[in-house]
Amino acid sequence: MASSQPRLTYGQVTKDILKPMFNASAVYLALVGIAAATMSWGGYCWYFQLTRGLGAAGYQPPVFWGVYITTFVFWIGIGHAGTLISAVLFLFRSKWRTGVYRASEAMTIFGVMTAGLFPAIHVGRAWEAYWLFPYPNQRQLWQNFKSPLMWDVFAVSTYFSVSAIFFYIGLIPDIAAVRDRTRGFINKLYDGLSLGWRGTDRQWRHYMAAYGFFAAFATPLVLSVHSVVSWDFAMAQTMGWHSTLFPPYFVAGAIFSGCAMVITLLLPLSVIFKWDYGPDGKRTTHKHDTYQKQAYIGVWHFDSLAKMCLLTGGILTYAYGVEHYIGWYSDNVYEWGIFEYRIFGEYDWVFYMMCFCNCIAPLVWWKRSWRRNYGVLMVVSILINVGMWFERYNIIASALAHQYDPAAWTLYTPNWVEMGIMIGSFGWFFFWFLLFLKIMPSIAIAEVKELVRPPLKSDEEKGAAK
Amino acid sequence: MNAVFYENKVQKGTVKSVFEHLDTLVNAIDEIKKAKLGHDMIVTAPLPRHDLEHVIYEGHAPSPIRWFTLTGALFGGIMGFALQSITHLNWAMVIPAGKPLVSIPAFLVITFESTVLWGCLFTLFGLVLMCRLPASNLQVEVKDPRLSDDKFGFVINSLKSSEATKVMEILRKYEPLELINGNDQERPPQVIIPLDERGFEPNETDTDMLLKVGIMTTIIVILSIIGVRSYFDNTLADQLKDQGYNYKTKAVAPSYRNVK
Repeated sequence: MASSQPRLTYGQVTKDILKPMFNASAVYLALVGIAAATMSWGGYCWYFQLTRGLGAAGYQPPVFWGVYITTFVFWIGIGHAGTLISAVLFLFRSKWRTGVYRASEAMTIFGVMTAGLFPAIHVGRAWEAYWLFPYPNQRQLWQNFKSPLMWDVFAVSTYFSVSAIFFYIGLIPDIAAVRDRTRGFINKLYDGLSLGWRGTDRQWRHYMAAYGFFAAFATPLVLSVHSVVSWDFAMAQTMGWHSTLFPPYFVAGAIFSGCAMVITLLLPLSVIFKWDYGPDGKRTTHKHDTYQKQAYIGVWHFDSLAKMCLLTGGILTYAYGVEHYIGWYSDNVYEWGIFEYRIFGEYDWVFYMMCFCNCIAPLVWWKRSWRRNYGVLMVVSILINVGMWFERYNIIASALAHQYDPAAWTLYTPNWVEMGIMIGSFGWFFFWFLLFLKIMPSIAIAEVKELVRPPLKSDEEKGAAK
Repeated sequence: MNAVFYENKVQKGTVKSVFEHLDTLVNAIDEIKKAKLGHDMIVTAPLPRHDLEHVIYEGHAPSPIRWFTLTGALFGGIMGFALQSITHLNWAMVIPAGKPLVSIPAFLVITFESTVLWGCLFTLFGLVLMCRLPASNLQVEVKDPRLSDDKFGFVINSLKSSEATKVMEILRKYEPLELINGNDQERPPQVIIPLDERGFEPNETDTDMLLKVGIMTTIIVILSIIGVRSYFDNTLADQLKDQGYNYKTKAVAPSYRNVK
């Protein structure tokens, strides 16, 4: 960028990013209220199920995995993009990650927190959920570590722990910046949270070394967690599940849905908090994007996220095609039967919904101007989120409802308890996300400063000479 | 007033400087090091800069964090595999159709997860240890709010009076924004950092935000539960009763929807 153009300064970055914090408008409070109400509806539904027994859920034997597992996989998938953006793109030194990674990581944490509720809800006796973890006990009972469900417990809890550490470590210098701009009780609170961080040479040296290792650890987790989730299905001898295709198929789907959710969440924030304005005070829309890379979260970031969705959506579409083709080519009547059932059976609308939202709708992003149009970005990203929920429902419900024995075929439809808990999970997720926006910097201050040209005496002297 | 107040105290034997420009700071550090006066110095920056690290730690070995990481990863990998093997050998009832009790392919997943988890936890431990966190006992000179915003700090400690004078001379050449010799400082001046019109400083109503959100959430949750319960009692329960079923006295099994 030419030196005559306006530039962001370190001070401006701190000010801009901290500005939305603590300031609760009526609209914000209303949104928190809606999230809390939705969350409490979900809570009530869970209470209903806990007190009446798991029979209150709409399971239809032999379909014992329904909306809960669908929603569990959905939220784990949502949690994927955050770590992909923060860790994988960090190792690749991708610059567009900087603006969006903090909020994406928060999305990951809250997504996995939401997902973590569902195994407990699904097993019915939630108060016994700790039996999932290995702990010494007087009966010397241990889990079966050869079970993919046990792998999943380890995979998800490791993913949550590593993501939470990575998230918190990234926040420390920014929490210190908040501390230094506050007084009184809030100052003490943030001082504690920042662990007394002062950005000394010693601290930064070890911090950057450790951050690289955290990123290196988190990177294989992005691939492993959803692979392990996919083995929950693929290891079972259930038609429509038992496939080696599942791990890459699930990982691509998770990144696809996660990136779409990042767009859905960050686009309104970027507009409301004016994070898509360049240092010249102009919004970096597709019409004038001269300073696009200087905006905190602008068209450049959404364009990159949309490209990521195009790539992973393409892999997903290919996977849909391959699994159906292999089903037909295998000449196995049970295998092809389930795929035929998905297309032409009672769940056909789920299948078509999935295909439209995940395979067709994102295609509009091949056109550059539509990748940079906020309206199109918002609509398509929401469609992808809907489509990805239906994809998991399509995989789970149809396969269990239509297994080997025709006498056991059934039609599973979720009841109000399951749907209530599913909808409540969105309230729970948004409740935490909304709180996060106001109590933590949603963009990484220190890392954005790394993108800004540092203040140099030599620059000033050159400017004065001109 | 909408501002943060900072008492700019500098101890005896210490020189504190605040720089606005990165290049002048790098040059100043270089010259102080060459003059062999930088044996006890602290440089603070609002962001990590490789040029600063290079000039300060030139010739030093890389951060030892990597040894914590390696140790943790090895510990985690061994522990993960051992946990699975020992428990399966300990409780041999889980014999899946004559397959081996200690199955390497099946145990690799949790071994991997354990490697990552413990590698990460040890790295965290190493970070806390090496950075000496929580760093509440750091010297007062670096606790300057400007240094997390847009200024760089350069503090040199353990200086004799003559050394401090020499350090002052060198640093003055690089035109720092502020240069204080602790030996000369009688009364620390107060630095006032004004915050802009909205600033970031949370005002009185803003700081109540969490309280507002908490109270509102509690009210909404209680009202929702009351509302949902009354809705249930008046409608869904009636429907169930019409089917000859009293949900209050009997557990719902297997599916209350099928109870006729």
